[in-house]
Amino acid sequence: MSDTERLSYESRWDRSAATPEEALIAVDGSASEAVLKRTGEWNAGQVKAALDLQPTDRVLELGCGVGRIGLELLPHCAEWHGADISNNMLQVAREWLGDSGRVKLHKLDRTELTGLEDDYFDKAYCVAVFIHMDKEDVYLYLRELARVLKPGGRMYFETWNLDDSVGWRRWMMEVNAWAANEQRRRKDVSRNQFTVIDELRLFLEHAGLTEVASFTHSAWLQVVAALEPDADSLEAMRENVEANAGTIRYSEHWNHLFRGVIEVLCGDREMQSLLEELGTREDPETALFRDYLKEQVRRARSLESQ
Amino acid sequence: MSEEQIYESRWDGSADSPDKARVAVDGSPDEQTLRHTGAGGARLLKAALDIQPTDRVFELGCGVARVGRELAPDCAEWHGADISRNMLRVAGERLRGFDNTHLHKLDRTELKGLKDDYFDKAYAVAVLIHLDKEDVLLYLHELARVLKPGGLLYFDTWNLAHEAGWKRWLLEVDHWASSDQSQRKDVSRNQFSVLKEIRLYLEHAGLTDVAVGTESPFLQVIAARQPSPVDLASLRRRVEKHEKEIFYSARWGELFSIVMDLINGRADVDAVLADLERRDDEDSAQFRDYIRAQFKAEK
Repeated sequence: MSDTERLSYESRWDRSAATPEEALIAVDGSASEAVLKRTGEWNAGQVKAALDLQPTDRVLELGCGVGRIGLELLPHCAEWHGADISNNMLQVAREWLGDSGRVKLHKLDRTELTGLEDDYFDKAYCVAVFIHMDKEDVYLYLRELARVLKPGGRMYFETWNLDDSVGWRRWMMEVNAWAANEQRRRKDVSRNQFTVIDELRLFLEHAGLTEVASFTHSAWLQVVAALEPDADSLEAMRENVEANAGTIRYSEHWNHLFRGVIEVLCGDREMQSLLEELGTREDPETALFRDYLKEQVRRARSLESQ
Repeated sequence: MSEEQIYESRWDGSADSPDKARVAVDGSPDEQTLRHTGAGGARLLKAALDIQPTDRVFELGCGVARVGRELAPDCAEWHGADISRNMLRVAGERLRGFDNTHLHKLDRTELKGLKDDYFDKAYAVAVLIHLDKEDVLLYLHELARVLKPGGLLYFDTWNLAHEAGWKRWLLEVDHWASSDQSQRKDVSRNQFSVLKEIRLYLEHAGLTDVAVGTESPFLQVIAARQPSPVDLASLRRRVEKHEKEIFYSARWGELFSIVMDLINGRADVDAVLADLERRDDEDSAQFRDYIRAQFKAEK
């Protein structure tokens, strides 16, 4: 069967992770383990800062994939749990992180954190996961995350921001792909879907979560929320997020770099011209994009020469 | 047949007989009811779009021409487009005798064969609620294309930010949560929006927001293609004057919310009806009849 459109969400991700190498690429497009490690470090830094991660914390990642972020967070928390819909992804995560002691992996079967206890976690997060989901699933998972968090617990997640010029541009890739499609099959079950902060606020409110802070000025909506925080701790959480905003949020420069990547993907710009723009600048964001892109070029060439 | 349902086959399947087609459109059990609800829809559209005898009017997702049948006598040309051939077959029969009507079979999210800058007015009622967001935006682009500059558009979609809209959405969410999830969600399930999102779509499709109704589970939008500032001001004044005929009232939204509570078993039908008996507004009377028919008749 080659019709990917008919796949359920689970089989979609299992197929993308049929081999460990494919799993790496499916996670964030990183073409090598070295680059994947760096993007993992970057996201882990955001999560750590957003959640004010403590050595005593029990932490849950929804949609952990190969454990890219968990690997970085494990040294800084008491327990790390990763949940994913794909067995193949979890297989790789198991090799990387083990599945005993302070690490626990959970195989999901549906939009539900089956087997996970109520009020168990201090912190939870979800990165580059909601972007692939229908709204029903985003909301159901937020409800589940609220369930497994302790009262006062905190969560961080991000998703695509339609109300941003780069976010919109990214969405147009989806729209244009569909417009060019013969439309005799349904849209990809895991295609990228987009939202606006107003919608997320409704989801949070109805899931019983309190918005601590959100960043809305990039292609990503980034949200820190808490379960039933008292007034003092909410205040403290807000101060913490504000103090760490520079680490948590995608900067204007990051958004600009991402726009460049979209232009290359859309064929509006040569990869070479983007790499030249990035030049030899050594700020960490530019360096990460440059290395990510160079690895893509290297991989594309090696595929060509095979 | 385990064949994957796409949007077209979904609606063709619902319209493989004239009776089924009618029910799929708005639940009307007979032609008389359909004429009645169609007339209500036509009244709203005449008020929203100021339909004139010289107007060329376009309906996206016309189904069996429930509304078109009632508008055709009052405009120069009425065109209806639909993805379902079966729906259009019924529409063709219902429109027999009107030589100013045209039906267009759609194959994809595109108004293929329809000319640029042709229509004075366009509308889509209870259609965008069933579409993925990609299709909503693509159709808005297409509607902008076929409208003349200065042309007017009316559409509605589900309003997630309204209490009753949220309750309606929860029906979808709960349905999914209790399904075994081995199949994908229904291709034509109800999908929901917030106003901000709709405004982004309008802006990018080259449409100007004239007026919006947000007091009910439906976002009701009147938009214009490139209106001059003077035209826009007068369009807005006109809509304001006819507001009550166009936009569902807050009371209507409240009543819809009560219907959701009845469906969810969170309200008692006799208590609701008893309360509605005591009210004399038009919306209460309409809902009283509806609730009686839906929730009492089966007993």
